[in-house]
Amino acid sequence: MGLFVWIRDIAKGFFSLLTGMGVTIKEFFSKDVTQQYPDERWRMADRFRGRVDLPLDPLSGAHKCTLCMMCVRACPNDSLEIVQSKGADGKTRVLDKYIYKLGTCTLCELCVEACNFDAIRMNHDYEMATYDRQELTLILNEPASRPRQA
Amino acid sequence: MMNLSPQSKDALKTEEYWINMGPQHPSTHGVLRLVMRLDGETVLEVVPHLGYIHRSMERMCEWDVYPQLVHLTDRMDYLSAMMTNWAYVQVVEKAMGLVVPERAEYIRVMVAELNRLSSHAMWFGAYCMDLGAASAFFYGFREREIVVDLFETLCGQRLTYHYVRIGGVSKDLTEDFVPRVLDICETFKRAVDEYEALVTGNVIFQQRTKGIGVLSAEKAISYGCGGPVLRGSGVNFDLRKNDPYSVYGRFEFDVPVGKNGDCFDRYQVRLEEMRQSVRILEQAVKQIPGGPSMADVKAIRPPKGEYYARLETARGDMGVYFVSQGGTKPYRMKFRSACFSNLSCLPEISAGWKLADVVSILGSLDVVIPDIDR
Amino acid sequence: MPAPPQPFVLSAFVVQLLLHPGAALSGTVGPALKGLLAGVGVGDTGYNALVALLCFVVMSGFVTVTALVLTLAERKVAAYFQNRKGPNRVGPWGLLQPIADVVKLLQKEDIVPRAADRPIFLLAPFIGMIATYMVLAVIPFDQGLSVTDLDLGVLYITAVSGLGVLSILMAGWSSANKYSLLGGLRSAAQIVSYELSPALVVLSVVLFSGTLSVQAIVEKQSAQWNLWHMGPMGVLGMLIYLTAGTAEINRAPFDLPEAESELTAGYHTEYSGMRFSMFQLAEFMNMFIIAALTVTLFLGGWQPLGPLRALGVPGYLWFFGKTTLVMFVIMWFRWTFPRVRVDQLMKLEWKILLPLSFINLVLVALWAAAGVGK
Repeated sequence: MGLFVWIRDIAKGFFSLLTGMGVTIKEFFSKDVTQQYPDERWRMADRFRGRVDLPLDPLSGAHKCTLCMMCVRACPNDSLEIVQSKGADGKTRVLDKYIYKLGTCTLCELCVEACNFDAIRMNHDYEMATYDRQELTLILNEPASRPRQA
Repeated sequence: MMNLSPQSKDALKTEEYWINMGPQHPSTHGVLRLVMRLDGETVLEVVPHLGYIHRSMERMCEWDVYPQLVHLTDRMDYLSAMMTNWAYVQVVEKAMGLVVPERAEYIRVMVAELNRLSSHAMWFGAYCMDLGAASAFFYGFREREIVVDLFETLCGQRLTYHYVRIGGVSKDLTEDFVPRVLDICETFKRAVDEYEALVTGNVIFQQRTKGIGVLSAEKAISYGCGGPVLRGSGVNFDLRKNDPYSVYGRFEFDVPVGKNGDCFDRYQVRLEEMRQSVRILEQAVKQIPGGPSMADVKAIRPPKGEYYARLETARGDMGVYFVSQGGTKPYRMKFRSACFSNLSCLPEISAGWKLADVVSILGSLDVVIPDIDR
Repeated sequence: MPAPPQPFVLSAFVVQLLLHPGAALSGTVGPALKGLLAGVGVGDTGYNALVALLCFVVMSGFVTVTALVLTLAERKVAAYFQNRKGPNRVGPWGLLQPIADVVKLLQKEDIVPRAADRPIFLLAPFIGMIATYMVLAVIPFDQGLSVTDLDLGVLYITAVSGLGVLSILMAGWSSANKYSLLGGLRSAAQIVSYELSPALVVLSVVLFSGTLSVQAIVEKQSAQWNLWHMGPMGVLGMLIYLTAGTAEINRAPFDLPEAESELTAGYHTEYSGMRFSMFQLAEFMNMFIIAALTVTLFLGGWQPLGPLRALGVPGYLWFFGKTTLVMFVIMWFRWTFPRVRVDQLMKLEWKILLPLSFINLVLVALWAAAGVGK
């Protein structure tokens, strides 16, 4: 009969709502998944691709870059530029500026894969936002721990 | 007594009006602009305007050599980036006749299925939030976070993976990959049950999705839809079974198929696909062999000709077509995006429904706009 | 000879104020104030006017504090449902967050659209607040502790709670914005329809209790609360009242007028700063009122649970505890369910809730006639 169908539909609908409410109340009492940034910071995975970094070799105290330009050729959008100059003896080539345009880099790691000398790597930096676009062009070859702005 | 019938002179004058939804809108899943003609609350016509995130990727593909183009595909359908990488890489390997090591094939299958899980989890969250159940959004994202963390350990990024490369995969699996995959399988089994309990039987959800936006099987095929949109309409077609690529032939899994082609069926197809992905993952983890994860390939120089290959992404049937003139750069690269074909059926299936239903239909089509605009 | 005046002991007075505020105010403070004013030469009318003014000030303070606390409570409860923490930076557990919100809203620019109908635009938020205050005037917080105790309290509440519609319609119309108008219209239809079932359910309670006075309804629940005293109709009545009440205050799952994922913010899109906060205040206070009325009608108001009367907990604590529980349930509804579409909303009221409330009324009449209520 129509009346019983109506009542049955209402009851079914009502109990379906209760099932949903049961799920949410269970979640109410379970532990939250919040990480209180910036008080707690995530330790990124080893392979995390932050941005390109030109580290100093701890043994020799200098960069390992040999100016082979493989990274510049591997980059798909010209985000790397190497400026060379003549060394103290006037004959050897020396790294003058390793210009890295963070603004156009897609963090694809092709440059790191292309380097045969282990000179560049991707670091774990992810707080790279700046207020000024000039600050996105970095010069990576400095002995200081933070690269100087162009 | 006033005669309010439309013919009399006392009739209430109503007119249709145009309304604009987007490009900045919480529900359009990206920068999609929908211009709709409404009569009261009923939608008469929907005109999607695209191109707000067009980045001329296909033109960019003509400037760089083949290995440098993989990272561009990450940014097309970013929610299934691994599969989009694979679609491009697959066609280049097909052109060159490159043989990929077996371990790399298994790794590709595993990351593709994990990506499917994370994409569907996020879709579930976004769909429920569009319909108003805000808590489900966080539950979907909580599960997605686990998969994304695993990808971060594996390849270094959380969204733009750039992992599947020409000839294999870029890095081999880490030590903790397999145990974490098994954990993920357990988590997702529970999670899909939780989603079902929260939403599927809910009478309000059923009223918002059952019978809404019906796409018949013939129309789905004629529009070129793929993925859950096609399977929700009752067409049993999944590229992993009908046109198997890589090692999918070695796994046992079912293909969920809907009956009516409404939003509810598409929703159920996706939830069931999550369960089947878990099945594939469990089998792959047992079967994966040792060996290299990247083929020894020197120069990528496909011979002259035209090549096409397609792949089942989380959204549908993604195809990549390119013309090579024998050099290191493609002459023309074209991406047949799954979402573009899926979106093209929106004007037809949303005509006659209410405004709130358009949101529901668009959500059930699961479109990612950067894939449409490239 | 009249009884000698009782000596005024401050500590005893404070204890009485905490345990039985109604008796303290009407027994001690009232006559003292009257005596004071008589000494100055102000008669009864002046005394009544002063009492009315004081009540208004106290209620304003109460409304402001409650609404502020509720904004924080809503955010924290929503967060806990969603596996996250909610505001916890501004003060411990985010307790100073409402103050930060108020300061933020106060310093915002007050924008009135040029095309807006200025007098109506400016007046709309205040009408909403007026309706809220008027209903709060008859709710008993403890024995004898209400602003006024009308003999026709229930009739008065039903009449006055409809004023909120006026405010929404005024806001939607005067905003000169298509979306606001749509939101306002939807909301007006919704609220006016959902006035009916609560009225019928309240009528069933009146029938059972035999009185229209709100205070008397609560006093009659001293032995058993109406929820079980009215048998299964008590549960049915409370559920209908809660559902229809949630729809009347435009809260999810019936929050179509404010559906952000569809049409921006509905009828209060064009409001900014303090005017917007008046709408929010009115909405939170309406939630408090619906909860308070549910508690008053079905859950015994300020009456303790029978066996626990001996604990000596003051009535207003019982009242606020029960109201908090009901408000938690209302928030629970919001964060679990998807939104209901407009026509489904109307169908729910006219085809489901209204017939159910008629059936409820008839059954309660039979129950009362069988002598249960005496």
